[in-house]
Amino acid sequence: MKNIILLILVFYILILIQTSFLVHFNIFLGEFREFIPIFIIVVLINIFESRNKFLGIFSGILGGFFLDIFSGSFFGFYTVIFLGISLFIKFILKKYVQPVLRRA
Amino acid sequence: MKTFRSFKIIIIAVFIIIFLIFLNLTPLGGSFKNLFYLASSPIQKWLWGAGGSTSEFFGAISEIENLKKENEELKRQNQELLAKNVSLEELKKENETLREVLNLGLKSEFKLKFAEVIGKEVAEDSLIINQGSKDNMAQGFPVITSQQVLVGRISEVYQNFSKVMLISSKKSSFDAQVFEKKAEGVIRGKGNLNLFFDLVPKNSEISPGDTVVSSALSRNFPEGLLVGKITEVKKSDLEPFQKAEINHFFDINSVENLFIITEF
Repeated sequence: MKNIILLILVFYILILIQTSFLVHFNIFLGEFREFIPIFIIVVLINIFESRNKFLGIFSGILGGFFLDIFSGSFFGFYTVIFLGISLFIKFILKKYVQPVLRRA
Repeated sequence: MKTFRSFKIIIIAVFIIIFLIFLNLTPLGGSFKNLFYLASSPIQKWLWGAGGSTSEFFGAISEIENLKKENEELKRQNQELLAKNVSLEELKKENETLREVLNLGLKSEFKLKFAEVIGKEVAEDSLIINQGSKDNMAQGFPVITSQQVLVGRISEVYQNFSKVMLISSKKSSFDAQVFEKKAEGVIRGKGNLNLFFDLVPKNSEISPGDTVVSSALSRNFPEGLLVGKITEVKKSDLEPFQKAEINHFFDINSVENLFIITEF
């Protein structure tokens, strides 16, 4: 529960920074710069959390939902994309990475 | 135990899907966004200002070499403009006298409303401003800066906030003309704060450095609002029209306050 509250706070602060502070730094990555902070956190949580935990998937849903609130798309657009990314990472880790690690 | 866990996940997934459908299909979606913007606006306003000044600071450091050249160029332009201003003042006086003689009233100015920028939408050329339906905002109102530079128009209205679709948005296009040359064309947004001038007849003489303003043909915006400067003209024998790249006058880093034209 503590992790979830912490995650909500982190994503909320990140989305505020993304939509107001980072807008002024049009240096690289073009329009994609506005996804990067939340995207990196979602990917890192999914990669490094232990097996059979769902915080990574929850972070995908939550990060996507915050992006939905501060975007012009319909609710669910980024939620589904980030959920998909989380599930994809989980699948790759379960199918290809963890068997190799277990063997080693 | 495993079945109970799967059941729990399914319940949560169904709940999330219902919640998202509910937000999309009911007006509560707008209220939900409005509530978030309302709670975040003080922090966002502060972050917007901080971002602008930080980027200006670093921009100034990296461009210190160009600043000297630019300063000299600006001084030269300033002198030219002063000379133009003097002759325009004389024309204005003459115009006023003629109006009095002809008993014509001055063209009514726009009715403006002041707004502050709160933030930008994720991955889209839209700004969020602190004026909403309770301040009588409506879709389609043009938005300008204090220097009469065209910024965009209101695309969505919430109770306390509105979204301004920038002219650089891919969804935006409007009629414009080259100042003093009467070369008409269409300004189209390219996204990521970029614009181009399209559908300019080939026989129209346009060149880099020309100023583009909104045209009378554009019903969405008043005539004569500043849009940008032509940086590059693209002519091709295969295409019936010419195109031009535009460097627009609206600078997102320095903008904090905007004006909404409620009547024109």
